[in-house]
Amino acid sequence: MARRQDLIDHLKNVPLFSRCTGRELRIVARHAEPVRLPAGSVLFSEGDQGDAFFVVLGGSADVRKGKGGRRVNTLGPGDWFGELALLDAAPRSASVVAVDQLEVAVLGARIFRTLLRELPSISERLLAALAGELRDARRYQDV
Amino acid sequence: MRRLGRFLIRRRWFVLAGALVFLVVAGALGGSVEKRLSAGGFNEGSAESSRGAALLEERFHTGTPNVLLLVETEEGDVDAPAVAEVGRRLTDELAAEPAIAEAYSYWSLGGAAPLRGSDGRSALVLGRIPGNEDQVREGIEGMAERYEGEDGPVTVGVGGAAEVFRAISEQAKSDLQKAEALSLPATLVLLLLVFGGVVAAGLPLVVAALAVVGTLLVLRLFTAVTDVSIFALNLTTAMGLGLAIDYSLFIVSRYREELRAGKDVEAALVRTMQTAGRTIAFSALTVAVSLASLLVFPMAYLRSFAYAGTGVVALAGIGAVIVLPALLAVLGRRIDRFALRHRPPTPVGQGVWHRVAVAVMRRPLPVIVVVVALLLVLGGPFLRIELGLPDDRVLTEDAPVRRVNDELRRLFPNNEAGALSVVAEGDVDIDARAEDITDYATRLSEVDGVARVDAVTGFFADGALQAPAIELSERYGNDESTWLSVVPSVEPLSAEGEALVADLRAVPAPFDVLVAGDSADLVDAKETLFARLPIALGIIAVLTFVLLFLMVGSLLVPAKALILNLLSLSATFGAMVWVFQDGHLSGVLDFTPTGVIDVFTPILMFCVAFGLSMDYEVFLLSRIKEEYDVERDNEHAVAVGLERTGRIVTAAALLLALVFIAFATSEVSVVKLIGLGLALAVLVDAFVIRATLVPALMRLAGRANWWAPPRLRRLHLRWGIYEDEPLSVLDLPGAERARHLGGSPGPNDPEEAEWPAGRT
Repeated sequence: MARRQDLIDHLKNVPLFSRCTGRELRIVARHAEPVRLPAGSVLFSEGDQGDAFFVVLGGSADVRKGKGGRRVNTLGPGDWFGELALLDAAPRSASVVAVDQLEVAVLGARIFRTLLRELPSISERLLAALAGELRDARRYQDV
Repeated sequence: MRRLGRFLIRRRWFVLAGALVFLVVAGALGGSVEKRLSAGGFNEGSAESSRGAALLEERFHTGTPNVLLLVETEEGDVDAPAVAEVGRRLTDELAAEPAIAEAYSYWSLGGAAPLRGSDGRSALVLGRIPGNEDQVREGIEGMAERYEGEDGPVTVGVGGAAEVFRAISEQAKSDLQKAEALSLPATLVLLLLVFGGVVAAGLPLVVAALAVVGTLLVLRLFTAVTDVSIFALNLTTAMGLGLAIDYSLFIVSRYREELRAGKDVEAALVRTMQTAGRTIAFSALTVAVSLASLLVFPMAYLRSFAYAGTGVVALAGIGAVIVLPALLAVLGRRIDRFALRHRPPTPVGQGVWHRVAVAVMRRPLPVIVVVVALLLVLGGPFLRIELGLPDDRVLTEDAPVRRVNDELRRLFPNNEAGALSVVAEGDVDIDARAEDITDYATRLSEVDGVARVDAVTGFFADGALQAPAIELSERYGNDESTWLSVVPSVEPLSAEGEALVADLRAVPAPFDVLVAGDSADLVDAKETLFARLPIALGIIAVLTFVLLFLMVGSLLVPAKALILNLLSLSATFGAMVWVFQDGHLSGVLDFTPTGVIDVFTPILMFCVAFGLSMDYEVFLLSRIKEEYDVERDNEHAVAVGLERTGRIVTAAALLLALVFIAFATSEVSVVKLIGLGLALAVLVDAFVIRATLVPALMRLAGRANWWAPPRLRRLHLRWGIYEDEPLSVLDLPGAERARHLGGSPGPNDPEEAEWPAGRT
């Protein structure tokens, strides 16, 4: 139970879950698997089939793209990744590698989709985040 | 399940050693359980009939005679001196038997007319073994051998309730051994075919051994605190073998499927545990709930099936989810050693069951109408079910005790051995109240179906005193109280017998009385069973519904499962009434229809068959749900779910039906009925319901199948049963489940936090 509460405490500080009620957070925590990975672990590679969604709870990870593995972003506590390949069933668009010891909460593809369907507070936040990114992408295009 | 799977792989030898130790200990302690099991347990201590019988024993040291010697002579009549001499000697011999508390006869009572046959060539010696069913069962042992046969000028046959009871239990016991001997080789051959190899076919036998031997230990523990019926052993072996096959087949098939998909042994086993292992744990729970509901009945006979049933289901489940995976971990790919054949699996979408499902879903409505109509027609006879208690007629006509009792029916219109006892509950001064007793006896003798009433004040028939009191009449009273014996002219264990009990109880009595005897036992047993039945059904329905809801998260699917189960069971019961009550096919099946079905049997069959049907339902629904969660396509999910479980459920149902059909070779019609009934229930469910009504109704309901109000959907998300998903990240080197999360829980104000970027 203590472990579950610990996970809830971490999750409620993640922006994606900020609008969740206590009950909704307990639901997410019930299905999320907290996993610790050593530095250098490749969580998935570009082109892989997606099977999970991740929320960073501790440590950091690099997002790498392309042949040389160009670093495009670094993720830290509160960040999430891995949802695109689950939303459109297309291959992973980038690789994610743990920079140091990494703690993530992992949600399987199926339960992730179920949670999006059943908990609008999460899907709205996710849509808002995606919309923000779309806006940013267009702004870069315009520039 | 993932962690359990990994643990079992790591500690496989430890688990197997533990299982072996358990098997040895359970075998050593539980092996001798049979000696401690009771052959009775059909009565409830607080019922009026039981209290009456106890009072009769306590105050008058008497009761209904349960041992009967039919003495027949070919030379002259029963009053011939030579015959009378043998008759008196037999009476003395019977009275001298250590188990017999009292004995009297036509001759010892000085030529009592009711104990002489209508042909004048036969007469009765009556005796009584006191005590409970087990003491009676022990007391009658060997009497048939000692008394039956030629004895000077007479031929002696042994009858009476005690001998009938002994003959039925003996026959049932030897029949069951025969059934097991018959079904075992056939089962082994089928196992080889279904599991496709010698090594694989041995696995369910290991699980079965654990379940059966473990349950013997469970029963042994129960015998320390309560009465346990010997019939519980039959359920233990049949269900132990059946469920072990079901569950092992489910695990082994999935394991092979995962191996074929390219996984290594460890990954295949973990995935098997996450899917099939979880389904089995869940299915075992639903079967156990159904059997545990038998605990609401007070009779030790029914409760014993609950102990044995839940024990064997739980142990078969544990065997399949814990011991079997450890065995598979040791075997690895050697599971296919000595394989009979290597048939490539049919690609998804091309199997027979897929085609059946698609064909049915193309025309759901006509299929539903036709199949439901068929099941209702089959179930029709169930509406006129007559419940009774088994008598000697459950045995075949050539059984010795059956012959004696058939002669009794022919020669003795009054059923002396079926006499009812009317016992005063409090103290009665027989001298002061002689007039009241006479009045009461007169009124009792006016009741339809009464041949004669014997009281301390005389013998009464048709509302009048027939003969004044004689020496024998003194047994109906003492310093404390009195009782009356009512000899019926109707068959005691019949609808007329039951009506008689009700009529007798309705006659106003001058003091509080208890009516006891075989017919009263039947009436009271039925009353108790019917009073508790709704509770048992309610528990089964509610708990099964809740469990299925936790599995699928919708309302319609569990409701449909319950309704379909009831439909299939009522069709089975209807067919059973048509055969065993009405007597159709009695020639082929070699039994005598008595016009009634044993009152305990439908309840027992319902709980066992309901549990087994639910078992298949859970297998099927879990696979349909698994598909639906991926594709969200109802029809596709149904077709694939049916296809993926098709071979397994078909094979499991055939094997289980075979185990039950072997019971039908029994010479006791109740055992025949249970065997055939359960086999039919399993087959109707596995073939008719699964192949037609499940896909048709799923197609008709469409998305509504999966609907639940938002509040319940949340409840399901929080507490429902979800399948573990395969997460590749957990297979990375060094990956571990985080027990304690390090660092701070992240930014303090998530609303203000920067949105993360770099989508993947």
